[in-house]
Amino acid sequence: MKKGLALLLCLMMTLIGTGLTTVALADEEPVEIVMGFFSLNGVPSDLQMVLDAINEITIPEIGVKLVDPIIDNYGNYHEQLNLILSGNEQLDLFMCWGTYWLPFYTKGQIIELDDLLEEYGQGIIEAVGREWLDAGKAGGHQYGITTNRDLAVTRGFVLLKDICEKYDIDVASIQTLDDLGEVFQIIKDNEPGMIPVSGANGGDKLLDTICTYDSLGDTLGVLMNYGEEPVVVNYFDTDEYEQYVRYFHEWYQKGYVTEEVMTSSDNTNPQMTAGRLFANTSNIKPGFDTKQSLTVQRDVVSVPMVEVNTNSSVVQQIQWYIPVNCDHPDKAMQFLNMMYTDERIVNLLCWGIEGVHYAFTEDGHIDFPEGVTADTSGYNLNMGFAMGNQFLSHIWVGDELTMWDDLKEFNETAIFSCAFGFCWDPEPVKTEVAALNNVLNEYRCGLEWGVLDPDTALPEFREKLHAAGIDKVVEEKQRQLDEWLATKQG
Amino acid sequence: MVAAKTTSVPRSAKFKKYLPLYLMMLPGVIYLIINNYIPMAGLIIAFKDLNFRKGILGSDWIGFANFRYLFATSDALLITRNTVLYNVVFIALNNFLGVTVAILLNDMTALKAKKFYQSAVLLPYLISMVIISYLVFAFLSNDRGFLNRTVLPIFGQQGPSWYTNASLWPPILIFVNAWKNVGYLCVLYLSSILGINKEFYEAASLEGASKWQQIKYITLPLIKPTIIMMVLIMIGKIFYADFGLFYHVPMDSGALYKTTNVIDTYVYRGLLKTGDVGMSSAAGLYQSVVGFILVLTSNLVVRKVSPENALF
Repeated sequence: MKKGLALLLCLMMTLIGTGLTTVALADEEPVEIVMGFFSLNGVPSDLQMVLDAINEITIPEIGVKLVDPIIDNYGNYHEQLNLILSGNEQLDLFMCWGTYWLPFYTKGQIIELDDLLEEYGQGIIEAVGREWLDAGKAGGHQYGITTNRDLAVTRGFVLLKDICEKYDIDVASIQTLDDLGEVFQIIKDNEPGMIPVSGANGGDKLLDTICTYDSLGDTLGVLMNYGEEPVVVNYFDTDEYEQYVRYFHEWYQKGYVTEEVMTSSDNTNPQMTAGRLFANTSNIKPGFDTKQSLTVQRDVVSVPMVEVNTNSSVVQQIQWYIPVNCDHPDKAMQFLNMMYTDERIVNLLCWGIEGVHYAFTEDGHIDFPEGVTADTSGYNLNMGFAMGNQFLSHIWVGDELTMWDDLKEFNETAIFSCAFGFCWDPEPVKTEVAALNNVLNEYRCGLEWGVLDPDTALPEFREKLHAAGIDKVVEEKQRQLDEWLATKQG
Repeated sequence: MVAAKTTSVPRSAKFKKYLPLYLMMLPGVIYLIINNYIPMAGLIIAFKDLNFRKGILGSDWIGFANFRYLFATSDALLITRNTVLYNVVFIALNNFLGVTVAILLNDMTALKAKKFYQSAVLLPYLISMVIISYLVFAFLSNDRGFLNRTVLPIFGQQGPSWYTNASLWPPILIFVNAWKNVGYLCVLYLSSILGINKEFYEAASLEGASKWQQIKYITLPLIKPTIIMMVLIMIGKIFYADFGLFYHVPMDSGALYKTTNVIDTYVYRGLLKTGDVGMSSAAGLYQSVVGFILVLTSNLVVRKVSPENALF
């Protein structure tokens, strides 16, 4: 409550302050900025209300007015982004997922941010740290600005807690795949109608929970063992790969996994809610269990299988970019800077307006105000991980109040890949990559969930990879990596 | 001089006579020019290494490099084979079924039943492929599907694992495609059968011709031009595959690619991550050029065999 009051006072003071500065800037028209980001919860109905509140701050302070942002569901967003960028429509600042930005880089659709970052983005550098920002570099220049969030990763299994308790399974003692196999056997024997483990096509496969390579962007040529040494390897040819694939095929034969993994494109959480599924795979970070329990609507407990680690791909997952379409990159960068330094902006973007979309609880969490629910809220974006500096945002009920400190520690303890900051540019071998993507799609899901028989499928897979030119890709990747290492040391 | 005059006068008279028709054609022509011809300038993208900073015209020419991935791999032959063979079967089977159902429907006398069947065969045509894929899944799903759970156990059979067994899919895809598209063709043929003068049939039955003879000597010859036109149009699309059918219906299951991967899905999967405009234009250009050549050749064949039925 106190905190709320304090914040309100702050707001009022800034409002008064605004009144004064407006006079000073009054003759200058604010620059209109169009930002773009995807949403996992649809387009909020109160979006304009929130934008108005942001503009009240940004127009007087940096002369920026946010207009008509491009917001779309995750599935459509990147396609739309492509159209807007190719069609040269107005877009000044956008966020995108994973490797989607690479084609924008190779086709010259996003601009270099080095100078802009130095001039207008000191707040970003301070908040995120230069070492992390390096992940957004390509060809020696800064293109992407990562958000400040969980910048490291560990992967593993998510289990239903009540079932674990029912069979006295000591989750803390699960260390290896063998341990886990024993648990799945218990489920198989005692819970008819419940599948031990499954996942969505395209999500983390069984192998993803246990492998420790740095994918260098696309897994076509990886660095083994958390990126220990800068030696690019065709992972699918390694003994490690064969071992795991054979191991998981045994699981499949024992009935821990079903063919469903080959066809399901849907998230498997609802199946866990319904009690049809005991475990699925996921990325895990501090606070994950509480959050996932809310999503699944049943208590879950996670079992990480690998060390906390990080590489360029992990950090690149959510970055902000400025496209060539932008007429005022300086203003876009100034606004971006505020997203990393200004608590008001961060919270408006993340949670909406206090008192309307969220309210403080007595212990300092935030929650829906009285009478508002997730369904009726006009701004339930819940995209803190994408809105600049997440560590400035309020903490929702259910999460630990120490969550941001835990996350910072999580990030700091991560094992760094030796190729951190290296960005793979597939352009010189794009013919091979296009063919290889088809081969990966054909075999990976089946092999890495254990459904396909490794005796026949694995040799086929390997042979097809070679035929499609994986050796050439690995060679080119190694060449680019060596070049990058040389410039880094030199 | 005189000769020139005599030819020019009828020509302008002809123009005047057809002027209303030309005017009616105008919106369509403008539409075609704007939508289909002007964008053809963009075909140069297929031969360029597109860079937006340099612009389309300023980007570097790279010859046929964008086309290479379509032919470079062992999959190239497979996807071409799949695309063409499936389409050949689709063309033959769908047209055969379409004509058959149209003739059967035409001879139905109960009006209400006729209306019902007509709508019933057309309905699948209007359903989205994504929904159809789940209808198929409801039948074929391994542990919950209607076939493996209910139908096959009645016969004491154990169902196969449908989504990991590539060899089962050609018949499934052919069936689904026919089920979805026959209705549309049927309505088309039905309308052309309805256009046949009833007197032919009356005269034929007076002469004692059986139903089969009427179909063979009246209906089929008279709808032959429509059939030929439909087949020619479909041949033009022989290098295009119905993306929904080949991507959604097999649920994008990797184990089925041997029999479900076609040019369109190959391009989609290959470029989804890299989003290369040049390479996708190359695929599009390749498909349309081959389609164009095939239409020209088949039309040539038709012109040789029965000139009055050729499209042009």
